[in-house]
Amino acid sequence: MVTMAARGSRLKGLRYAAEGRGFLATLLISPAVLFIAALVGAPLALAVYLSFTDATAGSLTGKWIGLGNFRTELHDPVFRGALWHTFLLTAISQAIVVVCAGLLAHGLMRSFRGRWILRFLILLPWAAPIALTVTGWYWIYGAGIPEASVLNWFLIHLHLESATNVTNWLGTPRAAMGSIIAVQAWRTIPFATVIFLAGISSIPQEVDDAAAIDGATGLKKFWYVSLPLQLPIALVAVLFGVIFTATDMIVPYVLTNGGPFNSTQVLTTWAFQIGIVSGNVGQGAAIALFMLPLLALVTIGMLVFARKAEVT
Amino acid sequence: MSEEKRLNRRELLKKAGAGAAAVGAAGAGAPFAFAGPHKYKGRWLSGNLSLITWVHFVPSYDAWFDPWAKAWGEANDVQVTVDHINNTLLDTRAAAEVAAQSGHDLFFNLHPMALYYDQVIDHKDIVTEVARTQGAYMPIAQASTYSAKLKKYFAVSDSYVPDPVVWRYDLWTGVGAEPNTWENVLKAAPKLKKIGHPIGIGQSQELDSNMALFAFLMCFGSFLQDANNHPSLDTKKTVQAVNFMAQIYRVGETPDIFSWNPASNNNYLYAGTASLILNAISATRTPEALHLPFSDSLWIWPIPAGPYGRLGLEHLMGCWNIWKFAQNKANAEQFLIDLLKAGKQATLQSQLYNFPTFAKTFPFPEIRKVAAADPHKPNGKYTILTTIAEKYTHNIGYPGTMNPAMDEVFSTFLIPQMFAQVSQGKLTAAQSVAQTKAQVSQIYAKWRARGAV
Repeated sequence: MVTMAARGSRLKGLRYAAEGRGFLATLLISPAVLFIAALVGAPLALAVYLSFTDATAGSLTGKWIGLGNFRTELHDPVFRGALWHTFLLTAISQAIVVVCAGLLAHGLMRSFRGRWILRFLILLPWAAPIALTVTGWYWIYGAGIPEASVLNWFLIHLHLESATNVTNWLGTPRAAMGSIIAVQAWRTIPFATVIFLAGISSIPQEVDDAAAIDGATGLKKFWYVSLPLQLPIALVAVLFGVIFTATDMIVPYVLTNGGPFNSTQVLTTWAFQIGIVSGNVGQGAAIALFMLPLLALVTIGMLVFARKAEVT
Repeated sequence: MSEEKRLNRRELLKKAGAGAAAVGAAGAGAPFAFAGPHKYKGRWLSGNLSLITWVHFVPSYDAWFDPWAKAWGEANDVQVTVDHINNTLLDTRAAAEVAAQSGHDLFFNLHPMALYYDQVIDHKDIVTEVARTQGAYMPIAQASTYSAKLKKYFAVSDSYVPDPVVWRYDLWTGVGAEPNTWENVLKAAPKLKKIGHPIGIGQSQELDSNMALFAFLMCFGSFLQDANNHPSLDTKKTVQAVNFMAQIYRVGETPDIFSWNPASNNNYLYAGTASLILNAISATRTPEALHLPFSDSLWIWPIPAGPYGRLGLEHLMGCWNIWKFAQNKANAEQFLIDLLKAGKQATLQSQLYNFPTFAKTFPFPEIRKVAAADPHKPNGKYTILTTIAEKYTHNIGYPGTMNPAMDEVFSTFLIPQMFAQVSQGKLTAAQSVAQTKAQVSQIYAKWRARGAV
């Protein structure tokens, strides 16, 4: 009897321990941790190691050269250009995204006929495979022949451009960078719009009513009431947008491949060019890793700001 | 036991000998008796062979190659898989296979991949075996695929493609000029542009711009490396060449050339716009096939002469590579030997686009006869191809040989960039050349430190 009672008590203890928050939480989270460690952590560690070596194509080891790759890149004008272009591209495209997504979200909150169709259409660029949509844009820009550009055709017929002097969207530095920024903004706007919509929906009606009673309308209401309430969730959209844009390679690769003369080269395309096409794996890893501390800083900064801005 | 049935020693030996001979003969003939003659040519081969190649610019070549590869597989008891991809994807595909250390047994590219010298087998046995029956491996192929420093054939070339200047006879005679020198091209360019037919030499980060501008530099006496593979970009001559091309752009081209891909100059010609491009004969074969109204007016000539002479490059260098990690190396080697021996067929099926790389496979006089018999107008326009192939076609890296540093200069498009930033007024020619020279030196120093140059 005593033995059975003791066993029963032990089982109860084990069950209690298994159901305990510490044990159960660890157990449930561990597959995800293992998954991330294997698929993100290990390649990241390997990339860090490679960046300190002179590893070449086909080899995942090399001679240890310390900060040699980083020094070489910092002296390379193409790399410095790529760093600047990455910043420029990310900052401008995300500024466009915030403004457009904000306007679209507010517009889509109103009730009108065809709202669901419009929401669906706005989401399409996000849902479509990026390689296909960028190839579509490549054709829209004329695929290397400005006279064949659909965009130029429209501009000419709207009398915004002369037929004898059409814009070479992908062949001159400014136009090429502008074209890439436009596509990056176009593909990120739907995601940001959805996040903004969720943010606006989460504002309680009472707050709106109280603001109306206090006489806050229009821009004032937006600035003092809606914006502070939306800011934390809007920052999440911006954070994702920054990371998606800064780490994206497909758009610049398909549209310009870094050209003309490296004027649209960004860190991802340059890392690919050096690390994969030219076979300097160690150097390519060093270029790719330049983004890591920068993006980590941006992320931490934004999360801290979001926490401060959180309205409870 | 009767006397007659008894055998003496001599008779026994005789009968035993005859019996042994009969059994031996029957044994040796058994496989034929039961299975017929040997079915497979390469009895030692079996299993699979996977290969990847491009989609040929002349479709009739692929129409010949794919069944040929299949028939080769059937004759050798090998399951052959042929994959075709767009030419612009070959470099990244090769990089991916090397990174993964897995992929096709045979990899074809349009330029020698010296960068992967350590990832491929030595192809010497293939070159030696083919040379035994097909004559010497041509100097252009040797310089493109052999590293004297590493003492290794890092690829084997089955073909090279001459790179003539393709020009519209009707338009050029209309302005009273001919593109036999670069000076004449510069003089005629504004007149041609004025009548709506600009020059079409690219300055973009792509293969055709690379080839045209490398060759253009050589016509001005500017070489990226010397005969010993040391970087040797002469500042004065290079600045002269870059300024000259910027002038051609300003007076006779349109900004299109900065955003071209390898097919763009062809399309520019097919659209009836371009008056001159540097390209292989696919640029004349397509208009012929499509019966474009100006196809009879398309002439091909050797590259225009510059101050240093008339020095052209191959337009493409067909190079096969067997990876060290290939699963079926013996099959791949035999396939290449047989393919190279079939070089004459390949040249004919490509409509004289591919030129073989072994001297006796399809000797120049024979190719000339075929070219002269080509029915397209103007009569005999393709006969000049053999002269271009023999006299004016050089390897990338001429007067030196292909090596990993040259491959990196080529694949990072430093030369089109050097020209483009001057043509667009971003830098002066002196600044652009100095910048490129520094980049080239850095690349060479890196590969030299690795002992590969």
